[in-house]
Amino acid sequence: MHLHLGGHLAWYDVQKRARLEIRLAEPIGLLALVQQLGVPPEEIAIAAVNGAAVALGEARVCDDDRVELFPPVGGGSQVSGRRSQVSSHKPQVPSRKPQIASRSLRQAA
Amino acid sequence: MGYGFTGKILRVDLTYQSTRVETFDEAFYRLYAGGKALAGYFLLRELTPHTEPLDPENLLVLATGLLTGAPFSTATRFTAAARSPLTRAYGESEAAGYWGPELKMAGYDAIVITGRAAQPVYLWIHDDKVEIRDARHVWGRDPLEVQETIRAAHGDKLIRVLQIGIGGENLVRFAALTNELRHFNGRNGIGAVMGSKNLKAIAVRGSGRYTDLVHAPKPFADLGRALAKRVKEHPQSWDLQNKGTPGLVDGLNAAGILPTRNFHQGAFDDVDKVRWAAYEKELLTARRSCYACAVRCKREVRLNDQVSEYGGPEYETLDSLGPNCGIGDLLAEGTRRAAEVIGGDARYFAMQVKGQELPMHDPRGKVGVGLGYAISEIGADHLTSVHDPMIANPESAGFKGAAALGIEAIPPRELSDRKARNYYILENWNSAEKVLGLCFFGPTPRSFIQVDEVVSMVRAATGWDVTAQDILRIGERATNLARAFNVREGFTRTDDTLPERLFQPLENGALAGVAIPKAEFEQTLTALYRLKGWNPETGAPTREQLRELGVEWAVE
Repeated sequence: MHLHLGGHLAWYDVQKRARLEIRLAEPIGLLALVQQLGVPPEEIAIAAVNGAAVALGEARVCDDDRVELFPPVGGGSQVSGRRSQVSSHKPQVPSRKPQIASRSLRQAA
Repeated sequence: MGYGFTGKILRVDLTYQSTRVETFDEAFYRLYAGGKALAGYFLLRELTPHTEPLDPENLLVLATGLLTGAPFSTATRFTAAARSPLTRAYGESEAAGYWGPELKMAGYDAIVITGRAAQPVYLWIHDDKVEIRDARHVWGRDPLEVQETIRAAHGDKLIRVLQIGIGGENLVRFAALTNELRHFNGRNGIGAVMGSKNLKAIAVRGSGRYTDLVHAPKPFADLGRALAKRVKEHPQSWDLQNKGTPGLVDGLNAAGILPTRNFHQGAFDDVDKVRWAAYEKELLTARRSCYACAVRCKREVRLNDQVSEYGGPEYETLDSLGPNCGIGDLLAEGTRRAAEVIGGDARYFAMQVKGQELPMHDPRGKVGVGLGYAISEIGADHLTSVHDPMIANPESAGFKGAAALGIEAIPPRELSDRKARNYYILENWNSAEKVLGLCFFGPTPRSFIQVDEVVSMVRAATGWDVTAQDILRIGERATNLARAFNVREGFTRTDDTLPERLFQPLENGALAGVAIPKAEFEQTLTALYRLKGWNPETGAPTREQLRELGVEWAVE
């Protein structure tokens, strides 16, 4: 999965990276992913998956997705009712706590 | 020991080639501490009503803020003001860089200029020495050559040069001033006013120190050290240091409010070409700073394989010449006048308020910005108040930082009485920044300096026992002076409008189909006039309001 931490959100990554490649073994809730990364959800104003705006608390993402997160600087007026077209993957309830495979989130180059 | 100001105003009459220094006491500065407040004071007090902006009698005021020149981050700005040739209203534009602090170090809080020189001149200020010098040899020259020629003439590379370009010489109605070639008073055409006076540049060298001016040097210095350390530890100031304003492109595009194709659209197909990743790869050579500022948000770029002396484009330039660009002399008059000449429906294509073009922020996604565009005394401007998204989430650092001012967390597109109240409070806050000389990228909610720290700065500089509410009043008073100026020039509520296009839906992007609802917008504007103590019918400050602010004399 490609993750873009826009604006000051990159500050929360240990290596201060704006763009991360993350391997996801299985789909994961976007909110859970964000929390694992240590990015405070309250600093996220816009979330988009594959170019479509999503609600942070409702979206699920998988390994093929391109995810963009932006803080509320200058922009950040999300439209309600546009939350359905998230990704092509059907929501799945993971059977165990989502694992982020291979390189860990905080070490990937 | 002092108060953070020098108490001296330099007066220049270019017609009579005379200069003198005027002094003011502490009581004066309690009402008009600097920057925008000094500009409003002199323009209202001394400019004859209805003076044509490009006539010699127009006043050009260059005023440092109370804290300008303080040795800590973001205390760098000064105000350039005059009756604007673009809007014919109160005209004002702030810039940072190095010139404002240097003027303070030379011993002046402001320069007030009137008249017109018989031929091109520049002003040379070295502490107490003030000279009006011949500038015929640099008239029509590139800014770099002008700066180098003036520095060489006085044998000092640290001379700070504020100058107009060829646009200002030719009275382009939106001409800018620049200092150090990289910092611009870019709005309202103050450069054309300077050009109309045949004043090419103001070169300054000062030997003073700001810390010698302050009331309590030790607490002042401690605060400066603490703030310098925090810049890299605070997410927003860290981001400004990393990307500067070009970093805004991505987020605004994703939010659907990146002005595109003259505000028809809110997302740009070719955004990859103007986003930060491309800027960093193709252009960036270094990150640069303003005076004593650790934020370092200015970019240095290469042009034709050489480092440009002129600094890199900011977000506003990237968007207005990139996504928003769709179309000689006619445009030098500004888009409103151009549309009047073209006639027909052209006025619907001129995205302007009071004759000043919209900045590259679409208020359909943040309606408080729209209130600012409409009500601002200088025409459409995006720095009148705080952009709604920054304070929409009650848990966000931005909201928590500014909560001490008494605001509420409100969705960006809500139009309501409480939105008017937020706007009012934060307009006073931003206006105070323009009086104090602080950059928008210093204080909360946009960045790292907290409300109590701004209060502490003013206390340490002046010894005045001020509170956060007093800081807001400092800002409110300055806004009311500017408004009173416009009332005198015949402006009314009917001038506080938005371009019709903003009441039409966006064509694409995340906010496709979204428009500003006109009736609700007008209702919120009415609520805002009432909060401000302005007559909602006429838009004029009431006598009671001006009396309460200590400036009853400003009533027409």
